[in-house]
Amino acid sequence: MAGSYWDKVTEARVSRRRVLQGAGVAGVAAGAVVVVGCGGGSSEKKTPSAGSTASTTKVTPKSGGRYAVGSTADFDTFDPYIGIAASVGYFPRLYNVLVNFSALDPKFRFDDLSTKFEQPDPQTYIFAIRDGVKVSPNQLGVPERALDASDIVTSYERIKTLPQSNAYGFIGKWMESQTASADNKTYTFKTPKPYAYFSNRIGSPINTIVPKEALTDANISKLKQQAAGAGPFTLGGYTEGQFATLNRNPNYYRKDDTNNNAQLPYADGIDVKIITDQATLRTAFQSEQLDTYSTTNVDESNQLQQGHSYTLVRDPVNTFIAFTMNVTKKPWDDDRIRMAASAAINRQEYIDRVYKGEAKANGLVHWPQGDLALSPDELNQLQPFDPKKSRELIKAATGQDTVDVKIMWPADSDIEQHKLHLPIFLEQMKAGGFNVTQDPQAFGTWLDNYTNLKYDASLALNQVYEYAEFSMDFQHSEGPARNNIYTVGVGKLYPEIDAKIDEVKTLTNHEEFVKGMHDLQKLIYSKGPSFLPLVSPYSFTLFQPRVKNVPEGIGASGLYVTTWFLAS
Amino acid sequence: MQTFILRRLLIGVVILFVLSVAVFYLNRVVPGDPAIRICGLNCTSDQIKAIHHDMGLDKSYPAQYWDWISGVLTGDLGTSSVNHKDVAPQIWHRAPVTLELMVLTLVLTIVVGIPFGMISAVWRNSPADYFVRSTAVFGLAVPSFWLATLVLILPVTWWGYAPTLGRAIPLTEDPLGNLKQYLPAAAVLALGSAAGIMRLTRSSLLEVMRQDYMRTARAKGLRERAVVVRHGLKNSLIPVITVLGLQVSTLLGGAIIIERIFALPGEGLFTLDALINKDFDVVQTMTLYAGVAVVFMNLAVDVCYAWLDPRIRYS
Repeated sequence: MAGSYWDKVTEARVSRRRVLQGAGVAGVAAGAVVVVGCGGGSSEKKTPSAGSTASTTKVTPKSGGRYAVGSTADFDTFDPYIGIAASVGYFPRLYNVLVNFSALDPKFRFDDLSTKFEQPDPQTYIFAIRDGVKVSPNQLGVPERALDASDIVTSYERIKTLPQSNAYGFIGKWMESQTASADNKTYTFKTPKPYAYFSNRIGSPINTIVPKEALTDANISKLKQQAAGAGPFTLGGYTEGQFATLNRNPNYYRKDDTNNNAQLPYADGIDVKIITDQATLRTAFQSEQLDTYSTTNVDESNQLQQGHSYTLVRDPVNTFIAFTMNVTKKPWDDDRIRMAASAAINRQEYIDRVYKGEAKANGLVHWPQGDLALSPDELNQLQPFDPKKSRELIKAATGQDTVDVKIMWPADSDIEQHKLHLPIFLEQMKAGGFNVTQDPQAFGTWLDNYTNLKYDASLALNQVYEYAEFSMDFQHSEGPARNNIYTVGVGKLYPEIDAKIDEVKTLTNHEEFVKGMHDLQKLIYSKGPSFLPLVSPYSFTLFQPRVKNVPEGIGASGLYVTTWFLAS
Repeated sequence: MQTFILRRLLIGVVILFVLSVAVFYLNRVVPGDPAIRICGLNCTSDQIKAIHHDMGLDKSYPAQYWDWISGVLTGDLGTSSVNHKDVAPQIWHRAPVTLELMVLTLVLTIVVGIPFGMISAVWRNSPADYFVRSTAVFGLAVPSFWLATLVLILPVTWWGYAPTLGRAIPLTEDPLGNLKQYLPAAAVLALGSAAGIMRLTRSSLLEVMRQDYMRTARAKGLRERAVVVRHGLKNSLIPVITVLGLQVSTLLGGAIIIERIFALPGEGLFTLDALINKDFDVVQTMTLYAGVAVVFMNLAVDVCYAWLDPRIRYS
């Protein structure tokens, strides 16, 4: 089910389908997820992930074969600046970014259109442009030439002047100026102030670089059906509602330096089939019509593996269900009530009952974000599960043993995890002294109310964030998008929290940033957070045995790499 | 007859107008801003405004309705807010899939429902009758989405087989492959309607077989087959035709689920996606399109009456 609100939780959209796929509301393309799983560095700087269990046999890579993937969402357009749903997962296949860093593995870096970048000052990024990143054969009439800095300028300028573009929140807000050098071999990007998340956002699929000839008035509307880029694949064809075929870009610049500089990509192409139903997607995988399948949970993964030798990739996922409190409404304007809610929540119960142990507790920053998240020991101190304390806080705040609260949630969610969270959450709140007036709402109603702040508190659907910025911005007085929608964070009550959130965003030194994020979280805990992420799970993606060199532990960055191959 | 058809067409136009207004209005009062759905959590108010402007949602309801309906009347069915493409080509592109599914389903419904209804009526209270009636009850009771899921899951679990999924095989390209892909879906969709037709054919034929003219036909010495087929069946088909006509709209609804489960990229799936995404132009046009289909099917049914029963004359 396609291209909806949850498809577009900004940068997170690429990988979140693995959790949301099959959801009536949902969506991010399973195809995206499928491809997410397919990569693996060669010239990339990559370290194995502790979270992964994939065991791929060492076989010499070979060229050939077509990789078949399914997508629960259709392609809407191949214009990377307005595309949503399935398309987003394939932009890195068709186009290039300057550089990509993995959200899961901080040591993974993929230098694509730029070979390196330097920062003469915290607000200036100077990229050296790679020679020979050549546009693929295409039907748009774009010459098969090498991309240069002028293409980046044209691409980002379009985003800057297109408020509805996906990357407007980044380029529109954070690009103060950009310049190409006279020889077009150097590109400079300046931010209005230092921006800690720059490296996270610059490598997003929605910032990919399109050759300037494809962005002319004559060509831009053709991007609905066609593409012209210098990525590893070129768009062979697309039939609406059915499939897309991607073929190897014969001009692709990258070689596999671990295999005698063999030309990449190894696969002849990728066939993307649009299959919107999760059970049908699974059937297609079982009948070998697809090479990969993202299971909904560990049980399904175990069940499917019985009698089969599928390759399993187990990765942390940047997703979580969260409890949101509106601090402008009583009783949530009282710090003690918010702290009581925090104390009432037993995250271990979600881990055990919903994810069968395949998840970890979140603090205010979700644990897949690595060192930005607080340690389990710190979390035990800052957000202990203690229903007795919860009741004491309620007593102190209201003089009563219990407090009446109204909590809404989307009632027609197809997301299994959400359905499983709900009864546990209600039980825990009751045990913590909250008399919950249940307010289940149709998804559209819930979203409308959530958007317009017409709620007291909400158990939100899965939300996926590839980086910590939005998790923190949920605590900000102006909400995650800074436009006073979705939430009014605790920053509304404590301006110092708003100031600290803004300050931490400007820390571009990693050590300072990590310390700043930790201090910020502790500050928020001291005031009673208004947004409580619960737990983040692992994903379980299966591959047919013929798919080799499956990447591990780099999440959505796997979209950029092409050293995977088909053994038969 | 011409006057009758003209009058029915005029009523049809009124029905379609009311339908178009209702769908247009309901789409807009249901909570959920399509701009938010398109734009997502990181949406700025500038982005929301830009999308509203692009979609024409910043205009008044009457202006929006006029923009849409005047477009429909001049052949411009609007633009999808999700994929930014014209709606008309998308409908035409998907129409063959749904049309083939509908035709196959109706053929199966008729081929299975009417003969088995006759068998059940002619050999009333025989083991064959009991078997057919039990099967019909099963067909009516079992939800098609559940059966469709089983039809996919069991073969893949037992034999690793599933029909081609995610790509419609054109009939002209590979007739056998096409049939292998569509037949399971059509069979599932036809089961319920065939069961209903079977029961209706049985009861209607039993009723007709008690008529005086049937006794007269037998008394004239006609063979039983001729009595049943020529005199009984034709007269018993009037209610069956009526129900078949009405089932077209039911099947269109059923196609939404079946197309999704069998990954057939037809109109049903297109409509479902549009509904979920609040893709106004698509939902409105597809509803109108289904309304037109039902209006014309009902008209065709009425015309068929006259052919089946010469005593019926419209004025």
